[in-house]
Amino acid sequence: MCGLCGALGSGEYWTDAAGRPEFEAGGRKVVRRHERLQRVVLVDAVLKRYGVTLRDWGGSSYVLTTRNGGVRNVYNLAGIWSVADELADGTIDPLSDSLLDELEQAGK
Amino acid sequence: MNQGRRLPVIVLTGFLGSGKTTLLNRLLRDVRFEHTAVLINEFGDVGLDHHLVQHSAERMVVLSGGCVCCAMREDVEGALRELFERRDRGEIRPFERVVVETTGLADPVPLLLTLNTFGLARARLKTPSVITTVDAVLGERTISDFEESVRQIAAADVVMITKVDRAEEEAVVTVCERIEAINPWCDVALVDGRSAAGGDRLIEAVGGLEAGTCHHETVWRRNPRAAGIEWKAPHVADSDAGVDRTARSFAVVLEEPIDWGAFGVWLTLLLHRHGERVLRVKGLINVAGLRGPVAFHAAQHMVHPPEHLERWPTDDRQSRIVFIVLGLNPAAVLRSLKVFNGLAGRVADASNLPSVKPAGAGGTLAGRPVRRPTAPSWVRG
Repeated sequence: MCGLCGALGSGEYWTDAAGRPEFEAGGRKVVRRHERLQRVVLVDAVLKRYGVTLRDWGGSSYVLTTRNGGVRNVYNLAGIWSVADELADGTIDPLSDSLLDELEQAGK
Repeated sequence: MNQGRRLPVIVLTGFLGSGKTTLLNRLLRDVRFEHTAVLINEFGDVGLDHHLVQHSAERMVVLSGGCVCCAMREDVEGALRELFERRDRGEIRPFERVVVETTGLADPVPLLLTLNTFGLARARLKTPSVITTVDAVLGERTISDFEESVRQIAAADVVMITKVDRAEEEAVVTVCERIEAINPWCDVALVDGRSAAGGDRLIEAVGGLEAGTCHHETVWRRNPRAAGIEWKAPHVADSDAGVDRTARSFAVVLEEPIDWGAFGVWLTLLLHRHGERVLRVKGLINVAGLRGPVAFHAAQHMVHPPEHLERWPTDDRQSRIVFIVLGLNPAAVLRSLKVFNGLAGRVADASNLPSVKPAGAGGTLAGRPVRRPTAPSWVRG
């Protein structure tokens, strides 16, 4: 548990850069909370199109909510996609042209 | 004895009748491989292959009654645990490596997942290497008709084409081309059924894998064509279901640095949605902010921990990622990666990120403010 924020530590995942010295070799510091929030914003941008919202929950898990009040809690990135599948309007496909068009617009 | 050292583990796979057991026998007969523990998986309730393997029974474990796949993972864990416990208790002679022979119908990836994630395997064994046997005579037909064969070749570090003495030269060349189209970075060796050379080549291959002589740099040197999107000779594995299952490999090259966070989000989503069709992903990635490249390797839903290299094999510092897929469109994969990477640029600026609040501060759910229910009063303040 983090002594400062009271958050329980979650399991290490291959996507995590924070806490791995090799990712900090270039001199930049990877802050775990910042990395998580960046991830939340990225995933949220994708899920928004499917009627699902993602938020960080105390730095230890993620909360997925739907427009009609459905709420689910997940602990890692892979889990987000599995649960989002159940909540989403339609199939979340990273190769879908319409999704990529929207993300391109959002990225500008 | 040898308890502190992680041992090499070789997964020997290949389609039914492609010569796995013959090669294994040759390997085990060699004095250099005397100290080898063997796990044999057999399909069906009555195991047979283990009777054909001439090896000391004490260090051979037979997993009968099924296939080494998801359903059998616990058996593999149990067998490995028993093997190491008996060795540690001194009940069996020490061994220096483990060889797992799969059934001819097995997809090796779930087994590799077990060997990569199971605690005892991670503590006692090195990263597994895969040797796949392909029949020179029937290989082309098998690759065309059975997706299992394509998956076995895609997972291979070394492919041994067996029975070349019984095949016409043209057939051997065709099989070689098929293998290269599916898996451009594996080593390919030809072995025949009679001479001792086949066993020697297997021993050579195992020695090479154990010594780690196949580096990421050689992958690129051996594949100078891995630049831009490149379609390799496609082959149709199964098209009758109306779904494109064409096995192909292609490389994508990105000039711009890749944001690691965006790459993680993109790849987890790609593997979640299409993992069953992404047989392998391997590459060197120019991660934004890092000096050296990040070597990356994934197979279906399994992702290996990324490895950081000190220096680039080439001066251009371009990210090169090779995919082996069933039916995915390379142009769509490249576009998708670029779009996700571009999106990361927008959120890289911290001002776009939501403010960080302590866990005790709670948040909002469905528009209603809530507090973290488990946060004690001293955290909530």
